[in-house]
Amino acid sequence: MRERLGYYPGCSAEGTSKDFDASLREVLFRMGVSLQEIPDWNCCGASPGHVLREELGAALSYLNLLKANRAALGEVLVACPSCYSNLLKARHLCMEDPEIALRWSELYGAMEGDPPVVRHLLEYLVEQMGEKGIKAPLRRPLEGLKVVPYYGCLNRLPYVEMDDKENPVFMDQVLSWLGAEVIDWSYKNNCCGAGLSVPRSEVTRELAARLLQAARDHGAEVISVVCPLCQFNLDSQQGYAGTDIPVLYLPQLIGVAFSLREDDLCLSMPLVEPTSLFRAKGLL
Amino acid sequence: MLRIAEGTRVRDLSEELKELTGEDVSKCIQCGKCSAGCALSPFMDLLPHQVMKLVQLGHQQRLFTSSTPWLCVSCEACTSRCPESIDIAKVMDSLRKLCLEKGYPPKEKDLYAFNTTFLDSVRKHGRVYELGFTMQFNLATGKALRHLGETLSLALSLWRRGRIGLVPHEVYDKGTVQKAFETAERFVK
Amino acid sequence: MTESSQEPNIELLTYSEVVEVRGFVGNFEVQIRKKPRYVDESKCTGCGTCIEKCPSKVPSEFELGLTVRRAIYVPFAQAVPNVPVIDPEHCRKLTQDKCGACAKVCPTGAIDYEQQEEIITRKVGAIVVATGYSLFDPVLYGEYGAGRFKNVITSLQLERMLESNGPTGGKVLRPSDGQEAKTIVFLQCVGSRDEQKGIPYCSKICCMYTAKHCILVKDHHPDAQCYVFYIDIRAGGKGYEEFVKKAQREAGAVYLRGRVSKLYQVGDKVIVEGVDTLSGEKVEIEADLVVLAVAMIPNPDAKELAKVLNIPFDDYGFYTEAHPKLQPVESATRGLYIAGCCQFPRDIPDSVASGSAAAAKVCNIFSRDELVVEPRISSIDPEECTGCLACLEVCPYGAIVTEEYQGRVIAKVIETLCQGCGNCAASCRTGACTIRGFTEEQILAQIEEVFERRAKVA
Repeated sequence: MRERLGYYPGCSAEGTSKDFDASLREVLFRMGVSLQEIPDWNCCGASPGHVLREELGAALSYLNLLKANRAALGEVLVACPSCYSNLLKARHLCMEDPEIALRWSELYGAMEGDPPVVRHLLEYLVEQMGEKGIKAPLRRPLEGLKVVPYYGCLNRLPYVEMDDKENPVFMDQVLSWLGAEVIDWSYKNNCCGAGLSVPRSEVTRELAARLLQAARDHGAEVISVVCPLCQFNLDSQQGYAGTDIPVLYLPQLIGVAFSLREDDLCLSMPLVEPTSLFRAKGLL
Repeated sequence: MLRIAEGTRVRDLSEELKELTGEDVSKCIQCGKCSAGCALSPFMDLLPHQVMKLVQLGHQQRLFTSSTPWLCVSCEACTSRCPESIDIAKVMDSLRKLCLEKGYPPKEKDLYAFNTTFLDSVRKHGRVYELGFTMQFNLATGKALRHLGETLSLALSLWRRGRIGLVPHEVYDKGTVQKAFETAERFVK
Repeated sequence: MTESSQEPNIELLTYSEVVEVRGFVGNFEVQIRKKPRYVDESKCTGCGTCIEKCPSKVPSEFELGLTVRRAIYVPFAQAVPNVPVIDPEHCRKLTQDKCGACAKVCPTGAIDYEQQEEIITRKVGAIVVATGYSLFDPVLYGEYGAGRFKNVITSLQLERMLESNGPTGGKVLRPSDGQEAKTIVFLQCVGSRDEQKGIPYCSKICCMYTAKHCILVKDHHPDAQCYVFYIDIRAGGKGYEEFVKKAQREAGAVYLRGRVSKLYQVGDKVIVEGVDTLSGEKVEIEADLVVLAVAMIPNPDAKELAKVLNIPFDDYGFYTEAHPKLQPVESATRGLYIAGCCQFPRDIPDSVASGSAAAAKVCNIFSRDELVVEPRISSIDPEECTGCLACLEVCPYGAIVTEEYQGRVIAKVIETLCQGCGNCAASCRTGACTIRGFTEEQILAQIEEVFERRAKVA
């Protein structure tokens, strides 16, 4: 009996982070989950929403919760940290602030009952799937693969109450269940520069270089991420940093451990390609 | 220089901020933990704690001509560690909005343009069309021209790996999205 | 301590705790639990052979985990009496009925595994509480890696290292590899002045002891360099400001104003991410050792003990004095005095002063045969009292007790404890309880007189 879960892909899933979306769907399907995209979902507002107009991002996110609600999706899975925070914010506001809730239901439509529960991929994997759920489809443990988990600002974002803010361990946990050699490092929740990569690449270059060099100094062979911006920033600045470490999304690593197909996991999408490393380790 | 003449009410700005956002900047004791942990601070003209002090002093001129609020990416390192539980990232956001409201031109034009072109793309399609909005941004700011080789090389690498979505996805119910744009308030407490 | 153990007028009961207090000033009855040491004090000569032979090793509480102690141990070298105690949780004989080495080697047969706890009673005229303080556990500060990073220690751990008879023989060493620490960074206000994760107050002593640490570190290691991250320097005492300047000018400590945001562990080094708000520069230091000046907090069992002793305490668990300015060592209960850090963070001169003050107050009571009390205290008319005991419930000083009168239970005032606050009189339904010299009739008479006079004038 497949578990049915709502899914909010986020805008970069159609472009720069196609691999995140594709591998996530593959891996969850293999774990017995049927993802249902929120019908006609729209942008959550990301950062520009709350930068220029505080209510805009929240309202746009409310629209998504409303659409999920109308599609009878009681729980929505999100992977992008920014989308996650915005959806949580919208949910919090429509449940705790009666003025806003009324305003939104009059302007955009009323929610039937409670808005859907919003879950992040990491909390879903650790708290709902658990060790059993992740180890069941495991075919090729990532033995001997030195992975450094990089969380970025995920656990500190507004309304996020997941894991430990200063020393998060959810990704570490999943990776260790996959049999990888997880390297603990203190840079795991430093900022990568986020959306500044487009307008201010000089900044993200410095921040990414710092992180990449730290990862290399800790002996990382792969960096595992759960954010499209983190992936892009770390992936694209390796020339400047003088490093050569593949930056992969956690679902891609899970997919490799499940022995899923390279193409299905979009392993050719990262700018620093991971396949030769995986072949050398006997993982592909 | 901050000249406090007869009739100057230094507290006005922090009171306005508290009214609009609920954040009480007067609690800040200038411990500096925010500045210490800010990843962007090496690139800012004012450090976060200096911004907080200037808000306390009501020094609008220096605040709204600073690049600092525009460089904040809301990574929340400051907010999560502030001993007085001040949401500093939210204060930075609010300063951006107040800057525009009070008619000051944004110090970081590129960063301002980035945010506006992003939202324009969302308004148009319902989702952000990455290719469209980056092109729009580059047209507006000429950023790509200044680093043409680099930009093209990156674009090509992404294109070859299939990471560029050529066609925008159009949300069906654009009407409600437009409505959100029309009715959303600038500040939420 | 040795002096007090040999003073004939002092009965020193160590390894004991107060279980119950009854009575009132001049006539307290205290029940004390003497915990079993498993060593007969009368037979032990303090030779230490038992300690040498004990196989069980446990992190030393006194040395804050920097070294180990045995299951049978003397907490520290100067402990009084110099008689070891057996830790019942880690002794193999007491937990698994194995070993027993200490009993075998003891030359006087002082080990007694069967020793039981004893409850004894003592009659005392006054009680002085000086139970001290604890230190905030910095593990709550995930950003500082406390408990995870080996080379991040607390100020008290450094204090032990600097001690010549301490775990490192007076050398400041990196716990990770035992190498001498050359670059030492001190973080002030860890836990203090923090409304979010710690306690909001200032712990008072840290600025001064950190300056001391800088001076001592330089003394022990002339080529070490100390950095101090502070928010404010609190040096309001005799010679204090000059002392801090000495740390800066003579010991070469570099003071940086700003709270540190995060510590990173890279190999054996700790990278400190801080700021100097005065120059407006973000500062990064590669340190060998980072010392956290952790907040001073009440003991974990302070509130429990307060209930036994009937002392009011504040939100933090510090004991409340009768008056913050005029009665700093007295508690609401007459005859019960508080001294030292159980009341609030204090340094050594202040603690000694408060202890002396408490002792003087005790002498004040003991110097007379009778106690003088305020005349304006509560009195209960036994004929009118119905025994509802509403007064007993509202008395903050525990001055009302019950007694039998003509076959029924009524309330009675302990005059030496009553402070005349009037709560009881206000709560009395029958008017049986009044304040002497301040009865309703007296007050009304005064009011009438005032109005009559005014009427005459008008």
